[in-house]
Amino acid sequence: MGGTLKTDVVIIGGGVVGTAIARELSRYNLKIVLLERHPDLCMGTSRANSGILHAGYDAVAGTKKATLNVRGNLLYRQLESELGIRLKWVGSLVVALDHHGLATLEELLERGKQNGVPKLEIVPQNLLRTMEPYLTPEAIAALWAPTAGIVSPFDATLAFAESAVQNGATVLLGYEVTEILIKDGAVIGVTTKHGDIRASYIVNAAGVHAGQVAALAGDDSVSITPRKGEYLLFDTSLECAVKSVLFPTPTKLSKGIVVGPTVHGNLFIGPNAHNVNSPDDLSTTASGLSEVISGARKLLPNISLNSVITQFAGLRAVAEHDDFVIGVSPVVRGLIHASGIQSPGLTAAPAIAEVVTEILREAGLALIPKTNFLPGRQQRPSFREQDPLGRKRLFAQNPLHGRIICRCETVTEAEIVGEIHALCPAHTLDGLKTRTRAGMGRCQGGFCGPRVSSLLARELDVPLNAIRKDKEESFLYFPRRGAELEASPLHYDVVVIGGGPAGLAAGLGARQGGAKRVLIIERDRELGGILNQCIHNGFGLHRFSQELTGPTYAQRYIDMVRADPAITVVLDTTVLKVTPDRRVSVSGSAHGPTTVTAGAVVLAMGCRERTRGAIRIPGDRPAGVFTAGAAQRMVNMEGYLPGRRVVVLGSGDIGLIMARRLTLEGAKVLGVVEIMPYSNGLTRNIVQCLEDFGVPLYLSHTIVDVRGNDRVTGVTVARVDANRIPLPDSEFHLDCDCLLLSVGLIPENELSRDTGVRLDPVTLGPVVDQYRHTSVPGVFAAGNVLHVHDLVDYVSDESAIAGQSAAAFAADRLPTACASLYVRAGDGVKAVVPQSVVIVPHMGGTIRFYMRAAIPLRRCILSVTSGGRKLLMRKLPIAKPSEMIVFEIDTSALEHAKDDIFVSLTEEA
Amino acid sequence: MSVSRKLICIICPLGCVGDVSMRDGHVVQMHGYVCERGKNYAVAEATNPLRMLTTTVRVEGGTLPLLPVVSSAPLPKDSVAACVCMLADIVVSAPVREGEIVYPKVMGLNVDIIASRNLPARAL
Repeated sequence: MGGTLKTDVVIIGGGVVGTAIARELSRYNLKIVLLERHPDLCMGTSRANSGILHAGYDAVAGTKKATLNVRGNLLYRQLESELGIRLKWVGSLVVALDHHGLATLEELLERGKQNGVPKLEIVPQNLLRTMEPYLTPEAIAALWAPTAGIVSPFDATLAFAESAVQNGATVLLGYEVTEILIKDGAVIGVTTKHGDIRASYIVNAAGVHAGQVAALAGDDSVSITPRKGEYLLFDTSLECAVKSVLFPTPTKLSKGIVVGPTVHGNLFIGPNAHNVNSPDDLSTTASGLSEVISGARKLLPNISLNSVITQFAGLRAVAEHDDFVIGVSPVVRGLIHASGIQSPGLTAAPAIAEVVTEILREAGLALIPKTNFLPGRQQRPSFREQDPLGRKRLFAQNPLHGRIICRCETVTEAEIVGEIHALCPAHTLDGLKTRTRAGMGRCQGGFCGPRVSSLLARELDVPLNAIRKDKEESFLYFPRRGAELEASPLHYDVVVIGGGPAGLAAGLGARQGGAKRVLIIERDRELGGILNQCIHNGFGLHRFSQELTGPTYAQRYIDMVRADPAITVVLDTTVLKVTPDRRVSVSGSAHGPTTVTAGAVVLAMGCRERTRGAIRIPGDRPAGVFTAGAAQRMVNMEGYLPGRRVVVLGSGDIGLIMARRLTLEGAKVLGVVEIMPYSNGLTRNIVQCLEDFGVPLYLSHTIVDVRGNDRVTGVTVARVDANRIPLPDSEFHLDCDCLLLSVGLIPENELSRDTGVRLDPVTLGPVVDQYRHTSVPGVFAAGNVLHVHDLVDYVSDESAIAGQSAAAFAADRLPTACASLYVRAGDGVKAVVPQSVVIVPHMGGTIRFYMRAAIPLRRCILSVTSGGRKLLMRKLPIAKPSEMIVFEIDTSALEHAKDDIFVSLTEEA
Repeated sequence: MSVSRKLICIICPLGCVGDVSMRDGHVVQMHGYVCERGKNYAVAEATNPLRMLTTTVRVEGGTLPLLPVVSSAPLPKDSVAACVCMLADIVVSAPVREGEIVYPKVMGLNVDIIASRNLPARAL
């Protein structure tokens, strides 16, 4: 961003202090911006420390350290439940090894009492044995502070930050402050490389860099010395040798080398304490580590180094007079320091936040409490910590829980992806490590590091060489020689939506048309679409010159598609959106939400069944009312019957086929009820599905009532008059437990409509030309999404045309139109597809049209004209609305046509 | 004494409804069919009606619980229901390939029952 952002308060520094202040301020109606120079929060002192919640006996009474430590310790007890911060109240022991040390314990006890630390006591040697069996036998006594605890400092920092963001604060990462803007002795904002941010109040929580930040405002009152502390961390498999945090008696410089548990069950030892020059010096040293080891062995003499998994160093921000420096700048108005926060800063952070808030109030910042402050935080269940049922539940919520990415710590893909997209997202490898523990275990990321990096690249849509370890320039990988790998969306010449008969044929058609990369997207678990449940035969007479079953017809196409390596198939994937510039947004179990781009798109989504609601059958709403197709899937693919005494409403082919199927499966089909005076199914199905089994067909009848509480108990059937109005005195009852609806199919065009594709109000499918090109350039349609077919063979033919045309479009080879003629449905015609013909130079060949009659006619004339000129005239012995009529027009007759094409069906005179 | 039956021709969309008269299992007279194909259909349908059989059989260890099957040739209309009933008890093991015979010579007829699709085995 290059502009200027305006806010009330800028907080510099995303450590535990800065984030705690942001959270505290987010209780009020304020605009808050927290700036962190690193790509993640918790990158300085907060990142590498002992993770101890001190009881509060160390600091001299009256110091800020003393009061804020005790207050902070108290506040964490509330924060634990409020924010779900990972902490454990394990208590601490300061161990005396000699009588000199014993005297120190007495001093600490006294100081603790002054500071208001509860429940302190000096524990004698014999009791120490049972409390900490591995403790050195040289220990003679210890100061027991049961109110001390341990916390994950990352978790605390992120919890504060997330709570702040949830309550409206803004966290900006990678924002290093290079200038503090001052006018008339007061701050007015800061400069970053991304632009200026205006604010009248600036909080300096920059940790070891607090002195430099103060200096930007011409304020030299803050002087910070970085003091390094080194640590060793042990594997969780080490039988944790201590229950509580063990301190030696303190020295002037530090509290000494500690032995303690972490909240995750590791053991850590450290830190030593050495002043360093650079605020960025986080190196460990051989001498430092041996100092840590020998220091730890004074308390735990038998500690073995075999289980050390890592070593690290942290920097304390030590101020001149050793106490925290919290207060207004003596030089510039509006600048507040929260600096010099060394131990017990982690413990004190929430209390520091309270103090800083009061300082801001006194400095004139209006603090109006929010009525809608949300104290809580969204919890993230960890897969590792769940019982088997809990794990199943997590998997049900998010299938990415089924994939373990970090074996050592049992971290799932869902946990990692969740943190990449969290409120305070992790966009670095270490950010994910600290949040999820992926890479924290024995292999230290050797196994999961590359995998986590790939997930980051995938989720952020960037190449792998953009993935960083932790800091601004900490890129992990370099691209190889040769062509650059792109992270842009995958591109396909042709993307086919739907893997049923239309989609399969369109995919193959696209390949025949020259497409080099084709993608077929199917929402079901397998290819083949509705054919998989149409187990009867009668498919493929035109296409394969033999009668096949639905699954066999599908299998032939599936085999052809699978044999072509240039066709990619994705299953269990639903298309959510197609933009007019052909970006296809999908979501699937294997890929999640993602986008591909397409040179051309073929819509092949098929159709759905008209439902009870759509035809408004009154009555009860018991179990046992199904659409015929849904029942067909249940019977033929799952092996369950929808009922035992069945009535079918509607004489469409699926209803007739189901009447036979259910009869063969042992059910009794009481009848097929059809409101029209003629059947909507093929004659062959009337004969072989009804007559063969003596199933009555009630023409000019409908169902006027459905009865039943739990299951259907019966339906009332009535004859209808010529206007399809039921005649009351014709009613009769059929005792059934199931009603199947076979009352029509509707092209499934919600996606097409979203894309802006123009639809035909009669076919309910897109308006297309002979290439099956819709009104949106590059978007084609074929199969039942275009218009409902009765023969799959025609679906295949039409889809091949759509696929070939799509490939031509993608290669910029689709001929440009000189003119476009509408194809109009005239007398006796319900609809014609394609709805238009584009005239192009050298068309050649014929154009095939599919049409439906409006009413049944015998001995009629099909006539096609343009501007009074006859293009086609054909006598038809019969025309039925249920059977699609196919005719072809020679393109030579069209080349000079200028007027719309009219198609009509009239009875012979 | 001849018996007359109404038979709808299913060969073309016209769907001629004709009358067929039978005596001793032979067609002796028919009318109502407008073409040769219709007449041939009527004779066949009256004397030896045949039907394709399609149903499902149980699958063990497959990606789906049922396998659709089809008869290798049409079989006598009257034996279809009994064959379907018998096949309800058949269990085949995945994987199965389309065209594979899952039950040979069903009910002693010269007709095999064959798989009408591939059905892969399930891994877990």
